[in-house]
Amino acid sequence: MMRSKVLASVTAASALLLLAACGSGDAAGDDSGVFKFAVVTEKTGAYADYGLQLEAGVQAAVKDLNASGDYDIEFEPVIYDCQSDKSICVQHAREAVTAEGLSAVIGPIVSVDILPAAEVTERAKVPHLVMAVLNQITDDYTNTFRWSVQSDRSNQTVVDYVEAKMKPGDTVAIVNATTDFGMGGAAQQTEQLAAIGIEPVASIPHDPDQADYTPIITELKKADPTYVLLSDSNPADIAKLLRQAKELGLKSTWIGADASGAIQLAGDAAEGYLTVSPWFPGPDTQELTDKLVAEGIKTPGWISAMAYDATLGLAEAVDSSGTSPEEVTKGLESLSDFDGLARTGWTFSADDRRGQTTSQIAEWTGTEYKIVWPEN
Amino acid sequence: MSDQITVTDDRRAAGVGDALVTASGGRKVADPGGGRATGAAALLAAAAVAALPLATDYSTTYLLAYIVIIALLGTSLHLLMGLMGVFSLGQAAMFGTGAYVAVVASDELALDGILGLLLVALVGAVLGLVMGAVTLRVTDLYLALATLAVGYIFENVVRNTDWLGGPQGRTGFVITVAGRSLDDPRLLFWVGIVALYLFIVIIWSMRRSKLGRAFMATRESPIAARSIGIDTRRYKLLGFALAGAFSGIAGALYAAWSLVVDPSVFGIDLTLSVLAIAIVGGLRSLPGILIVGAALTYFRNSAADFGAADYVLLVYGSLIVLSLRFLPQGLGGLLASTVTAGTSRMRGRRES
Repeated sequence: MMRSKVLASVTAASALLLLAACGSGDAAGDDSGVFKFAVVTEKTGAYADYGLQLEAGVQAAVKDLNASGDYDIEFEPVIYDCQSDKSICVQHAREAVTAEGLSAVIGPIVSVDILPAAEVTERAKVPHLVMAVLNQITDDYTNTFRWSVQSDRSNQTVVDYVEAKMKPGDTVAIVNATTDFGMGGAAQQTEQLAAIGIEPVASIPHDPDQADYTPIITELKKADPTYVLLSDSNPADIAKLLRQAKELGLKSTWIGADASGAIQLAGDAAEGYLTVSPWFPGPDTQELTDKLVAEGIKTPGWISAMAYDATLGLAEAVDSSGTSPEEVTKGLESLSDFDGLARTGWTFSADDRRGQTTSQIAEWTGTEYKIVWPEN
Repeated sequence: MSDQITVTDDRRAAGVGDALVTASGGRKVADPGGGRATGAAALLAAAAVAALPLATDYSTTYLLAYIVIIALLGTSLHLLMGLMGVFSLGQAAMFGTGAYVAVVASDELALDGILGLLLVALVGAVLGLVMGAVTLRVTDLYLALATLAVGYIFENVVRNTDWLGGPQGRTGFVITVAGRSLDDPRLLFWVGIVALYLFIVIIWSMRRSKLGRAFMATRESPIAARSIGIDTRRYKLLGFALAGAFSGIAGALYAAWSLVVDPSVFGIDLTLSVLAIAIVGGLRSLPGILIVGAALTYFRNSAADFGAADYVLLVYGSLIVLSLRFLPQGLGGLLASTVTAGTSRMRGRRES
């Protein structure tokens, strides 16, 4: 009986492994006149809000590229849903660059998913276009091209704004979530403020997902800062902080990262909230906003806008240099002052693949974003 | 047949008496399914599995390697929960430790994977021993929580240790075996399958031995087991050490597979998904766990192809609920009862 069970174990495993082996997808092929590239993104799962934005941006750009008649080649994204699971992201990245032999990868969006995917693409020497803000993604890899603004540059934008706006007697406080994003952002801001001689009057970390932030607001009221620099990427926590600050009468101006949904959750309390982001939807960017809305995104965010520009840039690289991974890499590295629809002046080189070095700050007026920095 | 005590199928050993009799040196265990033909067929099937990468492309072979890694974890859960009745949720701690030790052995000590994996197994075993020793006095829910806490502690320590890469973890490492990089998915699969076969053979051998029956006796009633001289604490420590060694190896292979190790390897998510596999497959059934492990891992990775990516958790949850309601012993229980019924019918026909 025992041997039968071992036999059953091994046979069953064989059958299932064979099923897995047989179930793999066919190679995409290399149709003449069509440039296929991989979009590995979190269409489902915990980060689906972000992943769907990325997909929408790419799809909107591809429609425009193919309709423009400016290119001899047709562009076709091959979309992989990695379900917000880094194991599946790395598996799909492998599928794209090995089984399918695709010459470029865009995505995923979340840093923890990008890092293993970037390991795959770097080892395969395939160019990888990313939107995440983590410095490490372009610092540690030689094949990544950042189509956004990395976190230290966004934090520098905030500090530049504060430095420009501060009057005598004004003070600054830092509030951060005790997450990787929050602690990293607070450390950068503290260092950048110190560089211009500003010491925060309060520096308050908080655990994520708390129901009550009254103690933090009370501490802030005692310190009475003019500006509160918030390093938190959790929309619900940002909304709770803004709401409780309003309820308790804190008069400070809050400046924080663009966390999808935070404004809507905070309601009236978000009026006057300053957000730092590479791009904002609104009247000033109506053309791109409309294109993204047409792709099914109700409230387009910076991720979809950056993905749009990244796809335009990829097309430009292919058009100028060719379709092989080496040629696409060369084409991307030679992009200089390239104007997308979301941002202008995208510049890359073999030594600097950050794309942009400054962010924007906008105030939420209650109905729309009003860009307040950089000042025109 | 009526005078034989058959405990090779541990579901039949649910009556503690049988297990206790054999564990304390009782009558010889019958093996009605034995035979050279069966063994040869098992070897052939094992060889067929090992040869799979020769017929698949790179990305599919990577998926197969991942299935093997999950199977190793599932098998360790089978040992602890199914054979020993120890409700441990500490697999993530062992798995994560294995992942980090493998990377450090490769990056810092420049050890080849042959030595590196031995080191990983050793560290995993020691961790298992420590975890077993710390939890000797607790059982059930308390044991589960205590072992789960070890994972949280390790995650926090690693997250705050810059030398280990802190929150972002470590990247850019290359783990080799016999000088060849485990970036080669076939090598990764083969190393994993050797470890899995070794683990299966060890468990198989244990189940046929006094040791395995002591495990089962401890599972059914520790007090009764101790009353006949079984040192239940020693066996518990041994089981933890063995599970730690192979969970550690699974972690090391995962590091080579995912190309990144970060504190999330200590997270509860992986433990829970393997626990789901073990429940649906049948905690006490190794074939069930292997089948369900392969099927669910394939499904999870290919859910988007089936248009089911939005419903993965729904599928997992439904399978657990349905399994607990209709197949409390999991798929393995169903398979075993079907096989047993079929065998009995065949014997009946032969005898008549």
